Amino acid sequence: MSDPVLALAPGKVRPGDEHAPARLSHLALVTHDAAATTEFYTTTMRMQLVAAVMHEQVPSTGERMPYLHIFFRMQDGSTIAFFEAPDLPQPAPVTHPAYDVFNHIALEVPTRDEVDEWHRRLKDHGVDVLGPVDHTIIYSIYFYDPNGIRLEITTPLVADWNDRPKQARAAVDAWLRTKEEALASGDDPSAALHRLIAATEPSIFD
Amino acid sequence: MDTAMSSEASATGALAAAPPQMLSHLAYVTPDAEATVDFYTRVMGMEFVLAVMDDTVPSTGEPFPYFHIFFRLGDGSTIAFFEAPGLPARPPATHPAYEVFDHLALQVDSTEKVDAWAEKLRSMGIDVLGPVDHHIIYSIYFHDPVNDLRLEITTPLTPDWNDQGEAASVSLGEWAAAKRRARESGADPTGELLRTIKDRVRRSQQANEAR
Repeated sequence: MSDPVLALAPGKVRPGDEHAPARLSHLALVTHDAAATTEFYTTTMRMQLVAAVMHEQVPSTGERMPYLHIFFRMQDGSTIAFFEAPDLPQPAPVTHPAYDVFNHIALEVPTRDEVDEWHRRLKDHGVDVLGPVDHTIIYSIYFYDPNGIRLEITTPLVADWNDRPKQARAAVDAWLRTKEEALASGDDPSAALHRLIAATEPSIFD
Repeated sequence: MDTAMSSEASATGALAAAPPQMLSHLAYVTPDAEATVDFYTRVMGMEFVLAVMDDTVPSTGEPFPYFHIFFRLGDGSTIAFFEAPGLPARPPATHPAYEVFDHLALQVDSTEKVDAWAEKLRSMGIDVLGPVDHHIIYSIYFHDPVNDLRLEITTPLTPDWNDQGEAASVSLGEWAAAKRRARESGADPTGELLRTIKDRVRRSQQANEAR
């Protein structure tokens, strides 16, 4: 099949990526409610609870602290994991609201229809969903898990969404140059970057 | 539920009957896009495959110039970063355990490759902890020095490391029960949890001896 989505199928190693790690094994975050986290990831997200580790000592550092480490699996076998440890204080509040938008975990489904189906499903489960947002290269919805972690369900709209190294390099060079020039001339970097984006957007992104 | 709704539900419900396939991208805020590009391409061997620059956050419409960069893993999934000028640094962790627990583990296909990563990272001047043999996976740990993210390179040691649903549910139940007992009796939850963990270790040793 020549479906562009399938070109990104799990396990597909692209030329040039043989030195990179193969894929996600697990992403681990602290939770203060393992029960609510398990309910959300198994029932709403349909990810099976597939491993749980209970220890009285952090293996990599030897620190004594009882903890539960739970893993929820995606189709390719990779997992989202959580740690619960009693008496761990809540994290400090974010220093800027943009952190709650920028920091996120995007999970892939095969088709746009499935993104829409997840949208309905999440709403049926009482989850507030933002989107769908058509980013031209991917199509996404956004929501939060019970830990306040921003999640995205997305699907690629073009086969090369993650294969634009030349444009990427040109964009990073332009961003850095603009910042440096603004700083050197005493200009506001934000304003200079706004101008850069307005001026170069089509040529960089197409 | 009327017939039309239930047939609609069964037709479309089938689409999302499964969990998400895989990671698409994981995104963090970075203070330094340039140093991040250097670390993920030169040290981590990941290609820099996409950059998006915009002045509004697409999902919220908030006006904010930002730069979004993506580095690709072998399966096409990506680790991504946002740089936005004027964004204040992250607050310090409220407890050192956050800096150990919060982490991103990337998979390679053999213990030899984990060892080769340890050697390569050390040769590049990066502090590496491990290898740690967790019995089910084999791992090394280090930090992305630009973004202070804890990274792990790991490989499974048993094919069922991520397929122990029943045992996992039992563990979760024992953990929740220990917390409940502590709450009801006014005991220290840490002590109750440590007793639960010791008890599990003892039972597992007895089971191994009986085999």
